[in-house]
Amino acid sequence: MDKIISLLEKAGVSAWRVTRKRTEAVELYFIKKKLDLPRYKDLDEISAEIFRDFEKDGVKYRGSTTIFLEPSLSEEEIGRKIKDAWYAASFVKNRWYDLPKKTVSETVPSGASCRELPLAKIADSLADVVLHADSDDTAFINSAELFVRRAKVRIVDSAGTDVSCIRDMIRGEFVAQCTAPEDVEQFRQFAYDDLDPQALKEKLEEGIRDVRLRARAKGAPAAGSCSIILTGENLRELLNFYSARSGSAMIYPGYSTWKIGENVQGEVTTGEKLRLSLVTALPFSTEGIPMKERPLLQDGVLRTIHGNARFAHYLGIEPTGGYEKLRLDAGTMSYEDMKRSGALEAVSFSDFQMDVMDGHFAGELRLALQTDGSGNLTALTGGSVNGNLIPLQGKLVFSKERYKDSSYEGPLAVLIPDVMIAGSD
Amino acid sequence: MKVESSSYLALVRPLLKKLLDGLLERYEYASVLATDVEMKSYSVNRSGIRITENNMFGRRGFTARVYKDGGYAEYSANCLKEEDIPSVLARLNQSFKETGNRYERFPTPPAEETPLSFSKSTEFLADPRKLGDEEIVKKLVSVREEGLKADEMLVDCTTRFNYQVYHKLFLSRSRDLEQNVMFSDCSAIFIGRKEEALKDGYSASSALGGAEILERLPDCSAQALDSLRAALAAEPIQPGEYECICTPQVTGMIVHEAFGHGVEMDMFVKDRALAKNCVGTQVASELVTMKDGAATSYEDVASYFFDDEGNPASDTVIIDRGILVSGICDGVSAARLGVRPTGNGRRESVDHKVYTRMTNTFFTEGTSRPEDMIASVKEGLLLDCPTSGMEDPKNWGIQCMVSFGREIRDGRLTGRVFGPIVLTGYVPDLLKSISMISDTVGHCGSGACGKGWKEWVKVSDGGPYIKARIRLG
Repeated sequence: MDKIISLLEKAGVSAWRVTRKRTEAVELYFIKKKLDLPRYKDLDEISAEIFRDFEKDGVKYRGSTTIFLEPSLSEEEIGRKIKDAWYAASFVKNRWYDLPKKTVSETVPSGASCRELPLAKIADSLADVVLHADSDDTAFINSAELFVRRAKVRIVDSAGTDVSCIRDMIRGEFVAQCTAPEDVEQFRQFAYDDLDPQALKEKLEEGIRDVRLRARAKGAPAAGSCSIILTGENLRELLNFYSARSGSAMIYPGYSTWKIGENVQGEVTTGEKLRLSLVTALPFSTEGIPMKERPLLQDGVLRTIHGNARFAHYLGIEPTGGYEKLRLDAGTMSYEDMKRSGALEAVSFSDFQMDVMDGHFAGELRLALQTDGSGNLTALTGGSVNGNLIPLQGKLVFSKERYKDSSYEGPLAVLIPDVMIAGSD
Repeated sequence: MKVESSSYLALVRPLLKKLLDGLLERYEYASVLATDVEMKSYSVNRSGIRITENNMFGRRGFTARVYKDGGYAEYSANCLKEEDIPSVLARLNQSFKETGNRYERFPTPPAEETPLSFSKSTEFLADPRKLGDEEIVKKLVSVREEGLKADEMLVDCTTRFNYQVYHKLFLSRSRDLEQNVMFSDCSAIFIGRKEEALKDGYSASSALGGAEILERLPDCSAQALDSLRAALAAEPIQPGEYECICTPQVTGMIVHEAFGHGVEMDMFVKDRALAKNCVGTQVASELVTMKDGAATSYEDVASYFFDDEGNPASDTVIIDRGILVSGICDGVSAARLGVRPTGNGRRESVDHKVYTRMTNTFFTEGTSRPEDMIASVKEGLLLDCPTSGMEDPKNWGIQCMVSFGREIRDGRLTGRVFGPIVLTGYVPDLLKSISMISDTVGHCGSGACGKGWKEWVKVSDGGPYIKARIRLG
């Protein structure tokens, strides 16, 4: 890093940011109970953002370009890349903006309880949970992929910022399969910032339970309009509408017209007012901005516009950095009551998507459950849901039960009325 | 002009050879794949101008793969120095010790390689590095500004250009392969507002080549604007089964998402693909022939000479006149299944695992004229502008989404538009319902394909206009 900084200064680059990310990773791939492949990697990735100030017709501009500087590059190659980037930045005619204020910090250690463990041991602990998750030949874990990463990130810039942190990341996915009466599968992902065997165990149990239900699912739900229940990751996906539309990257170009203090949820009729928070997953943003928890919506009213330094400067607001995690404080109805209401519980989709541009959410149903007035449960598969959050956001009711993963903390479920179902006639 | 070789790979070749020799002393099979990738992205919109290098598909690095005791292990890094070689050897040795006692290995025969050696390059007309940042930005700015003059309701227009030049070197006991490839794409996205909702219209073009693709940007802009106008006029659709004409872009999404992922044969190994039991059976109308391959006649962003396991690229017929005849396969899966690899073993980047992946995937052309196909529909939709799709190899369920469909009544487009639309149903039902295929085709590779929700690789897909019955919602 020192060599790169010295070459930047030698090239006359007065404003720059250098980021170094050193990642160690262990990956285990399983097919049923057998190891398909172990993989190991060591990556040392350095990138530099080069800023160039210029003036045209009395207007000040600040152009920038990002380059990647692999450790294998010679000094001459780095010098040439810096020169090319400096030239390229002169065509990036963006209005001048201030870079984030100087921040200096000792390395912030990983908050994970497993931070002292070798990665291979963490991977083995996850594998133990996965390999013992099933016990019969009908419903079992078909395959799993486990990823354990430890990354140290350091950000240094020309304003004097020098921050670094270490993060442990545990990610993975598995496929649960049930062979009778129908041969079907359910795909699940997981992401934790710490070793949490219990959370993974529950996720696996849930996957096996759901795939058993899907194996006996018969037909698609009835076509027409009905109330649906979304849970976990799909509920988190729905909330992307709020995090994206409150981002300066959507507000500055005019894609989102939201303003601080505006009731962006609109009139709440039969639903709950939204209390959403932006939660920190890392101590610093990619620009070295110290991150802290911030209110996003209070009773449906926008409290924070979040984003990077450039758009913040243009909008005249404080730069906050980018957030990956949301917390929703809501929940007035029990999950059981939601299910007993006759709503269609959309357990899993092939790919549930929230279009933050137009408010539409949609997905093809892999498994849906419906409980009738007598408490009888019917498992369904096929068909799709297609709704728009904008007219429905005043009618959202959330569960009292909670759910947590690396990108969300909040109610486990949401009840949404009047959603269009394409299903059986 | 041909893409030149990488001076970096030439420089590290002796070191990679030394690493390979060290591995071959210890293991039954060993190979080293090294890459040198340059990717640059340009965009212009209301937020500003952006020029940046892109590392989405990796940069420089290597993967060492070894085989012992019935299984493989891999180690990747983005730098190799002479002094690193002992630690790479030690890490892989440690891997077999750590996992050998703890896990039973999934049975895998060793790779069988016939000797092969070549160095090949793709061609291009205009080198984006020589054209330069200034000219590329000027082109993006001018097409954007021209597009924005068309309508006052427009919120924004984004114009984009990306190119990638990659060099790969594969070394094993019997193979020494080098390839140098350049591909590029450009796109235009218009955004307009309809009350609180924003709608967009998108069009893209891609090619195995360089900055010559920028000549297609004005056409992309016109098509994107037309798509936005349709999306803004779209009404909600009444769910049901419709007679549909799919544009080549929608056909491409059906080919890729609905069927292509289901014939990736690493899914056969895991018993995750229904297609495994359907080889030799009718899965589509006899009008349908489907192909995939990095060496097909449709050159696009996924054309190459060898895959990431050192197997030569091929041209695979998957469906022959309605009959499923073959899947596509990576090398390890091929060894497990006792078939020949088809050159479809691909990594997102050099530090990712190999999976069976599609390349350029398409239905071949038929004999009907698109206008005759529309004229044959009494009541239905012309589906256009695919937005996303998801595979379901195990159960052949379809999830594909399009921005809109244009209403057809009595053989004519009425001007009414419905959208957004979700396509669902059972894949063979849809493919068997295909009753007309056009004599014109289109294909594009502007996006990337994931395996599940990760492992992104560049692919292209497309084909002709098709007429089929599809459940829409």
